[in-house]
Amino acid sequence: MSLSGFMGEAYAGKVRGEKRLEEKGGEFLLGFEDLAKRLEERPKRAEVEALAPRNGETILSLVHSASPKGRREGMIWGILTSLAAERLPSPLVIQPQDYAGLELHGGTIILDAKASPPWLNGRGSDGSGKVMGSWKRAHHLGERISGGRLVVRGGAGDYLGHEMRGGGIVAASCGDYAFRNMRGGWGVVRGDAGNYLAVGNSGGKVAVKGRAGARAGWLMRSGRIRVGRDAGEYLGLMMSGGEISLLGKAGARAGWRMRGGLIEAEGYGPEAGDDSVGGRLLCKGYP
Amino acid sequence: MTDPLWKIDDLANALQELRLHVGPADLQVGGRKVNGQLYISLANSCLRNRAALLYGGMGANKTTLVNLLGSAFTGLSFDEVENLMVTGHPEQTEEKIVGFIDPRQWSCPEDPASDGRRDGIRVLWTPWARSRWKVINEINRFPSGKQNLFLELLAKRKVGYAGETLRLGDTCYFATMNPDFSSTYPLDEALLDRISISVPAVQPDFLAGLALAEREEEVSVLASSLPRFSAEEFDALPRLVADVHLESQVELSIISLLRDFTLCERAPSFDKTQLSGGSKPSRGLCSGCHYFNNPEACCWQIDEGLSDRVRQDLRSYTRALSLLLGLKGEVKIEVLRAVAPYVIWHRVSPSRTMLERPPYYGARRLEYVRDLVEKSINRTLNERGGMNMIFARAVDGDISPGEAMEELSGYDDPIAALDYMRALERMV
Repeated sequence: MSLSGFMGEAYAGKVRGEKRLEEKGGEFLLGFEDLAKRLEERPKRAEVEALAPRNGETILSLVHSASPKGRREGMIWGILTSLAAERLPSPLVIQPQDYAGLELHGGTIILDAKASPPWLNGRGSDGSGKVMGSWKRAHHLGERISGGRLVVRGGAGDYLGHEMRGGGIVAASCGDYAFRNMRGGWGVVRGDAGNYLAVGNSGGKVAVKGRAGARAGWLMRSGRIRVGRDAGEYLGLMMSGGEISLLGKAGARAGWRMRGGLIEAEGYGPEAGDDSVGGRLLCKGYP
Repeated sequence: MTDPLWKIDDLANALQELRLHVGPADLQVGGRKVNGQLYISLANSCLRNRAALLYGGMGANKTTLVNLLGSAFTGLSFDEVENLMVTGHPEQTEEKIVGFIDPRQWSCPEDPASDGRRDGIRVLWTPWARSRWKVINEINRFPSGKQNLFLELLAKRKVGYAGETLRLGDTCYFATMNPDFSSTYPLDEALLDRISISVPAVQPDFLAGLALAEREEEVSVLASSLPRFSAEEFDALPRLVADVHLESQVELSIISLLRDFTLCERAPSFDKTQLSGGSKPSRGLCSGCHYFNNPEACCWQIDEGLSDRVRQDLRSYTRALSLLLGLKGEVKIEVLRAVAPYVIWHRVSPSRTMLERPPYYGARRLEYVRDLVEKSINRTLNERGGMNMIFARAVDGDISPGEAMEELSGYDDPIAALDYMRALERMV
């Protein structure tokens, strides 16, 4: 008898097409520390994905039970929040913490200080002295996201939406280096942004309702920035493309050494457009 | 000749009714529950040249049961069978077990018919050596060196003494062992591997104790009323067992079970039976391995691999028990599930950490092995269908080995990764 015949007889035509093990996937995990221990020094999303449970609910409980220490564990935790958000049917609502939504591909994450783990049933404290409801400015939120939505109900820290390629981020305000090296997607800041907003961008759109700090749009190559009020000094420093428009006034040396692109503002501080070899500065206030 | 199977049923019933053997129905085969100690001993009586080990504390009816069965199957009286038995103790010698040189050959004048030629030395073989029903009582009380005698017996099916050999022929072997007695010696791994099946014997529980209280007469008296087998009927049993057909499903599960226990990514030739000394799963061999801590994988949970003898034993006992219970068709996979733990558990040492983890198997090694066997068989029947079909098509030449390797690379399974892949690589 041929081997196929033997196997065919053994399974009597009941061969399951899909592979349960791959579907179930994940490894037997004892908790977040166990997961972190099994990963390398610089964990990649694919590695975390291979080890993490497949079920969104299970990942969520892992997310809630974790207390990440240091940059490496923070990144693992961040990837886990993204995995949970992608797999859960409803938006993921969690406390703000560094690296939340790292490399998000889809789904929605809402960072809310009032969010509490399901087992607390909406009570304000878990008894360990950690009080829910106080806002902590978390850094590196929504880094490298390529899809989905991240809503920050409060001020974000530094590096918000760093290296993002798609998707969207909404935050009440943000710290320094927000949307740095952005290549796509959009970001909305409903309050003020810190210094170095959208540095080195080559795509995407950023809208800030309040003020922007110094050096916004530094080394920008493409994309768009809209600021609702004034911007600090060195706006669009050395930019070579893209578009910056201000509803307020730009600080000193706007468009300094710029090579291309467009800056539009109500007015400019001293030395605007010095040493520039290209690009345009438009002044809406004095046509 | 009456049907020997009916007679076996009669025997089992008679043993229960005469209160000669009362034990819990702890062996579940499909929907039926029977006493493991009794039915595995009966299965061993239907086979030849396989050894069954009854393992348990004193008063668990190990030796008596074997002797009762011996009396029924060989047609001898209970006392005669008891006299045949060899019992282990440190001073037991080969002469007393096997035979000794006949001293008469030097004192008597030579037989004129032999014409002055003498062919070797005449040996007087003991009744035990000559009988076809060999019981080794308390095998663990033989010192390790003397245990090798049985190793030789079981391996070669013949026994030698003073240059003479005695062919043992088709024999039923039984051994008993009480792990608690003083002056016990550890059983050699090679000997344990020759023991085909091992069944724990348990003390009578409350109800069994009540039942035993009803036994009025001596065992030897009651034994005379057990059904007897003629030599013809006894010899017919192995042929009946051999006629039982095993389905591909069972054969496949047996081979996969063996590979599940034996394959190891880190052992030489991926074969765990070649591991030595410090390099064992329990000594940290597996740390960081892809399969380590995966509860679906058996390899890291057991120190030893399984030999081909296990495959033969699994097939024999599955057949014998199917025959005894009158099971046919698809239920044979259930027989394999029931029998396999008994065939495997005495040959392997499970990882201590797993025994101490929930659900806390502790000293219940048999239960732990049963769990592993269950996992392996379920995986073979449910999960491995796809990969087995791919491999089979490649072996039959329906698809190229390269294609098959690409498809198989998606399967996270030790057999696919270590066995199938290497076989396909050789075919390229």
